[in-house]
Amino acid sequence: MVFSSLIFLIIFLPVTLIGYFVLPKRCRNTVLLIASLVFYAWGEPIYVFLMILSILVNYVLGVDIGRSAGARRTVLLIAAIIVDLLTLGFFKYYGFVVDTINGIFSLSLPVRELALPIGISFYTFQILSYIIDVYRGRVEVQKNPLRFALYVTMFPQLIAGPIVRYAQIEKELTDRIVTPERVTRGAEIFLFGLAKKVLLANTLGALFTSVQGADGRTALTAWIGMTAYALQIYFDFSGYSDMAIGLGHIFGFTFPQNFDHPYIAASITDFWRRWHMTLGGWFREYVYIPMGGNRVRPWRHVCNILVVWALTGLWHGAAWNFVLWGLYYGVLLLLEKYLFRKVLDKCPAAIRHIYTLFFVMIGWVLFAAGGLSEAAGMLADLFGRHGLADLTAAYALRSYGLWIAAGILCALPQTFSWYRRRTHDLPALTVLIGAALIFLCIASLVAGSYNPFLYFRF
Amino acid sequence: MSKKKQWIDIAFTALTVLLIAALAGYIYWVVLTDSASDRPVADIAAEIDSSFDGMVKGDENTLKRLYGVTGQECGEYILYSAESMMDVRELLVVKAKDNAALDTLEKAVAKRLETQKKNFNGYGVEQTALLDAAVTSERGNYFFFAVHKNADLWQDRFLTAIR
Repeated sequence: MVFSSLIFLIIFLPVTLIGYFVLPKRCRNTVLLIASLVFYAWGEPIYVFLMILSILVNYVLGVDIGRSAGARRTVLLIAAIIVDLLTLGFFKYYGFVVDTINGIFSLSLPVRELALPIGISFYTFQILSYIIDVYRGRVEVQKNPLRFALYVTMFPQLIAGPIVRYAQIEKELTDRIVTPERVTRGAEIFLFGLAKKVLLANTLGALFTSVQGADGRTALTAWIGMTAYALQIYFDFSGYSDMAIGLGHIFGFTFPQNFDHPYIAASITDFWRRWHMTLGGWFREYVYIPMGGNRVRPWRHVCNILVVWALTGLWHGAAWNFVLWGLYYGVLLLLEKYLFRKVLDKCPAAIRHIYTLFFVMIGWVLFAAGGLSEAAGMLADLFGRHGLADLTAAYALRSYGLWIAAGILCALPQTFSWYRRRTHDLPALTVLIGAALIFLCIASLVAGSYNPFLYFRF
Repeated sequence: MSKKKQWIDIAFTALTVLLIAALAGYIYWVVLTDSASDRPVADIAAEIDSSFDGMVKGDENTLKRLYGVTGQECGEYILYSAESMMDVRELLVVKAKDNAALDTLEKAVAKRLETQKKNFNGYGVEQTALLDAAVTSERGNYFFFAVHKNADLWQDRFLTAIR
């Protein structure tokens, strides 16, 4: 089930909200847990049991780590990490590893392509953050299995993040405040997220799909396509995060921010402080800093950065183009840190923005491609392999130019600030805009069929 | 260490081992039910339908024309399609050579289906109904695609054939 589906909007969410607010307060965690399991089982009837077993294993290991000391504690931590990473690795990377071995050694080991359990990367990382933080003594062990299960399964952020660390919602799992103001605010955030996804991401996604499937793309067509993809992936993922954060508010949880207008970044370093912030934070906290971070010799720091970014790429997908995408950013960040920082700081802001957007767009080529050869083809097209411009580009601009312009405007922080200023004292206008957005989203969902969530495959 | 604590340690260890074994057993079961036996695609096609009435067996050119892919890219395949341009029936079974081939096939078939739906949208009511009910399936490294009034039945036979 996805947030931008009619079944979620018209049946699942209203029923859950009624159950949550009508039943006594002490039943709220149970209602949310049941709703979350139904939400997951709707799309993954088989894998819901995998998630439940993972929860049970980690719950027991967490409690045991909490009560143990010395070597036993460390052994339990290692056991939990191995079990979680092996489960994730088996479902997500088995085929990739076999393919790679077959390719290197010219073997033909059978490929066993299992369906990837939705959200496994997200909930595994959440579980690991809990286990590691319990081991480090940064959070209290959760002895109530229902609360622990709710932390892992909570449907607003279960399948596409944001990655919520246990410490961030530890108190709210026990006691949380739900006020009408907070529910209204949550509903507004959810609605804007839904509009980002349904109105902008889906429309721009259709443009990118048509460009991706076209033969003989000129440079202008390819750049239009990649601009559409850059906007699609941003509105798709940030829209989903907004919906999750909004639902969190409605149920009384404060989830961390995941995006901060990444396309206004003035450097690649800045971009990654603004894009998928919870994933970056997770890798920094649980991989980069334990490896020594930047408090090591430069060569070691270079290794740390490259390892973290190769892993970040691999987290996004079991394919070499994702590893290359991660390493691409690792190298860019190192270049900025050790070579370009001073030059970049002296450049006019416009140049810094153009530089950042250029390299981010090139990065999206690696990300969007089905493989390395497809990525190479798109890159060649971006640089004019089939000429500079043609009528296809003009047609794309005429058909989607306004959507691209709307996308660019909505990616700017100034647009939302302007909206806030204009509607600040006009609640009736806010309600009217909200109603219009709901109407447009539902109309679009009823009429359209193109509704993929890009980050579900992670 | 007190005797009580020792017993609690043992109980926790036993429970952890039990749960990890249950998790491993569950994953093993998922793999078993999702895996495919190694069979030639021609045998599978023979079990799906004995005659493919009114359909003709496609070759490399047909594969390229319909899906824009080659056998070298995909792996071992068998393809049946209708003779008439107004007939949308088709069957494709592929034993993919690797994961990338499965991805390529997924995209190629989705594109083919989209094109066919556009072709018949608005005037080919029967064709559009068949295209809307098209079935795509993956099991192990096998790929199945059918547009036919018996597509669901064919899918069941395909899954049985590679079980």
